[in-house]
Amino acid sequence: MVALLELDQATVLAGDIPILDQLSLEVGEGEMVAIIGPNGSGKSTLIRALLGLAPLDQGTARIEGRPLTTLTARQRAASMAWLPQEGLSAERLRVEDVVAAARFRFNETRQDCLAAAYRALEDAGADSLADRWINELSGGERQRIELASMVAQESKCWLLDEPANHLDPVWRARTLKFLSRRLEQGNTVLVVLHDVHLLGHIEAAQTRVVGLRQGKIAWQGRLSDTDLGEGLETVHGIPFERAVAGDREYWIPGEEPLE
Amino acid sequence: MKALIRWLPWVVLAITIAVATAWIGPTLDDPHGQWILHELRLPRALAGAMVGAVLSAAGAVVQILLRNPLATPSTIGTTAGATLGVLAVLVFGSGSTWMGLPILPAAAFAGALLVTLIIASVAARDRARTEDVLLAGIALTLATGAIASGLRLGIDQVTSLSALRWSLGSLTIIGPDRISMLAPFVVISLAGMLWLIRPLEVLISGIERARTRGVEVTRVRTLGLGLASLGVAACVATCGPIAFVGLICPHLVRRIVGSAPRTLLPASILLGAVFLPLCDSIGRVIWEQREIPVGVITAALGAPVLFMIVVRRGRTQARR
Repeated sequence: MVALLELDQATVLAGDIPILDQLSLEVGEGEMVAIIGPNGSGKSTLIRALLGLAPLDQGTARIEGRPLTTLTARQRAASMAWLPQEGLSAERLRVEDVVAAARFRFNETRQDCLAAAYRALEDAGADSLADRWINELSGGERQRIELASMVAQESKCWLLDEPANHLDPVWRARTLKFLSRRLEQGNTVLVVLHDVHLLGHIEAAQTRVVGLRQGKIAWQGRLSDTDLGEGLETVHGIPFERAVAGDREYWIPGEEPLE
Repeated sequence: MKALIRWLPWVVLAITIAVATAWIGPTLDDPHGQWILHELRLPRALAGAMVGAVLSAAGAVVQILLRNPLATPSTIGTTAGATLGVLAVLVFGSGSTWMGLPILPAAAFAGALLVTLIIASVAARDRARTEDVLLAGIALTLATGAIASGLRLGIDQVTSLSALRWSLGSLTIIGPDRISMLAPFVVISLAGMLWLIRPLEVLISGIERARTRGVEVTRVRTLGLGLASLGVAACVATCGPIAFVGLICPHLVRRIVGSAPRTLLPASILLGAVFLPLCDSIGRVIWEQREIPVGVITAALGAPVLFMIVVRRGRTQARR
């Protein structure tokens, strides 16, 4: 079976320094992948490379077996929706317009577009926000709009770059819960998590954890693997301790070994 | 269709106000006055409305494409390029057509397009920040301005004076023939920009986001800047560089109806179509016996607006 998303020996350079270093990764349909790794390990670049936002200096990115560079922007949008790290723009825009704009790839009337945007808002629990200005929303409300926009785009795969950033604990948990729901509904989810703690909020035990270090995959395994702790240590270079709270499992970073 | 009906009353209102500006000033009851009204003031109001609409729309489009409220055809150098083109014709040129093209708009468009293409190539680089684009625009404006001043030295005083007068931006010399020359450019440019509204709606949320939602950003940006340049060039060729319309009108509109291009662009067009004839009428009557070029009026109103935007942006950025 052809992978939905694929990076084949992908290298992205910043000047002479590789941010992604001959990295190969395949993501199958219906899979949930969590990308972890220290700052500057290439997590965001990996997502941007898949989206075509970071052009590859070597190697190939493929979507369902077809090289990314041969696809039109609309075809890419059908396969992948993106939640970037930086938040919504500070422009004075109506929520409904912002969500409707995510449906650019469809050729439909404004009426159909708005109807779909409202359904997406409902799905993200944000239908009451439809006629608010986005620059007047709170962080949690903005997050709902971001998720609604992704729903509205109706892409196969969701690529999220640190979706829990700047959110309070409740909204972090909700966001990850929302992703689990999308997974159940058949989406493929690839999420960059900069905080290892958040792995504890992921419900699907079959989630693949991919650990990056210096632009390469340093470790990968399943969330349910018994050696996840060692994996985290390989990726971050410090030991991690397992902590259990209820039926959840968290990983707490230990002391940095002294030189 | 629905959108058309929704906008219709506003279109009618804008046209009414624009035409009504012709009656501002001393009463014109005698036959001579009637001639002034029909042959001078009405064409002038009409030209003002067309130029205002195009400049305002071009400002809004450039601002969305470059993601900066300070970007306008006059701040990214388009106007300066067109001005240089026209001055070059005034200095070196002879005759009014070249290979069947009216030479003034052709030269203005060539100049505007040249500068805009340089700016667009700066903007198209992957890591270009909008600040880079604005700085490049300022550099190009200064450079073309210097060349233009140099050109002016090379011509006799009478031509120089008329060139100076023209370069202040004025609607005084408008006649029906000029209007018919301007009209097709106005229609193409406005229709083209309105046609881009759908991708612009996505671009307003960020260039990279737009890419991932299916917008061919480079194509839209090239088209948008090209259409804006075309319209601006035609306006500059007709009545000289009129600054700040593209800054003031979209700014006011944004404060009232928000930034969504689907309302911003049509509303900017309408406000521009009202704003410029009004400014021109003020210029006609404010100083008895003399006329102040409309470019001077818009600059006097625009500079404070520019200042305000800069101060406000500084404040919101500091807060983040």
